[in-house]
Amino acid sequence: MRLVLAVAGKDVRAELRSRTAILSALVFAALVLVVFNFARDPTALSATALAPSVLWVTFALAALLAMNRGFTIERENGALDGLLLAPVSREALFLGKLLANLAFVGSVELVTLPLFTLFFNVSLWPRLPGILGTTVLATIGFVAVGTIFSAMAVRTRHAELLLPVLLLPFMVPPLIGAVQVTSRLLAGRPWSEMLGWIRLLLLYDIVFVTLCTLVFPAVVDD
Amino acid sequence: MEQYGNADRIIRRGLRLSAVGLLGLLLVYVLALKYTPVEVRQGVAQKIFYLHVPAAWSALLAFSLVGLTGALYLWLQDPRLDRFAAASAEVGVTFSAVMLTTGPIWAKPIWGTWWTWDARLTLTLFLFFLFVGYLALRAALHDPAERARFSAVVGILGLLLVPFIHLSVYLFRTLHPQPIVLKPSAPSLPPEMLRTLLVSTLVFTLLYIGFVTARYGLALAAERRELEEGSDVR
Amino acid sequence: MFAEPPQNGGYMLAAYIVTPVILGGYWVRLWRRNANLKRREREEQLPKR
Repeated sequence: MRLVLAVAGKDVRAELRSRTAILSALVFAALVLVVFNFARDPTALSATALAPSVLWVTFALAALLAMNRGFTIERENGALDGLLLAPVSREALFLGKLLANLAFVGSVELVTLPLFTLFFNVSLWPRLPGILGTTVLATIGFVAVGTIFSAMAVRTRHAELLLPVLLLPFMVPPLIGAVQVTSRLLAGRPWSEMLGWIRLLLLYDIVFVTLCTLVFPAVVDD
Repeated sequence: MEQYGNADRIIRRGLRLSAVGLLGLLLVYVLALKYTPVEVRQGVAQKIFYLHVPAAWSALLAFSLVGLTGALYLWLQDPRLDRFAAASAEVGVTFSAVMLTTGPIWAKPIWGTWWTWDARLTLTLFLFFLFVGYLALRAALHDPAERARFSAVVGILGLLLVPFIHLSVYLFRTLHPQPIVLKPSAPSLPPEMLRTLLVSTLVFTLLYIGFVTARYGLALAAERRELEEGSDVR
Repeated sequence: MFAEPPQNGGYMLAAYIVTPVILGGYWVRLWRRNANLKRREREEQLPKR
């Protein structure tokens, strides 16, 4: 367990040292929000109707960008090879990377949320715990499969193109779940209406975190 | 040279089997057009069913085998499994293309719209994207062992994604019920329809087997060539 | 009482044409790749003699 945190800590520190990565992802997310605002007809669709979709598409795209960047940095440093030589269990290595990516993407999402509230004039405050919880659940889903695929894509020439092509189908179930729950939360609906979707998010996370932990050795070992 | 001969035999067998399958398709056409009755509510367009459903079956079969042989490869490290997975993926993309074209062509007269996000069509689209992603990754990797391992991972993950897509669409539709004008498959099919569907499924399965065999043989031949070229250079 | 089925034969025709075009086209593609491979094999054998 300590090993997991150590790996995570090392990755997070690496990300923080390259502040450009976080900043770029943040600026990207902000820009996407701006584009969405201008991409809709304000007389035809209310901001609240579209808000959950806009938020989650932004999160999904930012997550793609962040994860691709993360592994590119690592490939440039050759850091992964060093870790692999150490007697670290592959499971701990994966979970550490997962946590680091989660922290990275999560921090981008956390800063994007207030921007979202500002640009789209939605109040997240009353249902904030639910929104945060949903964000965590869905992001775990994104990042679990994303960590595996970015580890693979980074060994190809066109990683930036390949990662979305591979990953987007896998981001759809958590995305649907997140949008459905967020939209109901913002509309002040009772929890009973969201249980099915929350269960979907949980099930997806459990299945794919487990699966990805199991297949990670095949990605890093020869 | 006899090494190529072996691959050549496999390729030819595959080509023959799939040629027989294509002839079988002709038989299916005859059955579908002459033997089966015309469905009163849906009209003649209902007969697209005899092509679309077996194509879906083949695509799903192809996809499952990509995932399963991938998993087996990770366990057994047998390169034949990886070669088979690659062949199955390419054949699967072909059947997905059939699904993606016949699907909307069938949907338009029956449901009035070219596309709808129902379970069938949505899954069709996802299978297509998963196949494309799989093949794109393979094309981008050049070390055979790495390519085999990575493909296997994508195959396994993809296989497990399918039930989640299904679940998502199901939840989506039960909460957002959409008007269904006509149901494409009647609850109980008359025997002529059932028999024709069965024949068509067999034909499509034969096509799958034939295509995969040929494609496998071609991969084998290509690998042998690369080995020979390498040894010639030395 | 005897309802007329809708006149949508055009769609059926489209689907029944598209399907063998795709499947037959794939068969042709496989066949051509085989033919190319065999041709290259034969070409490479000649200088060895």
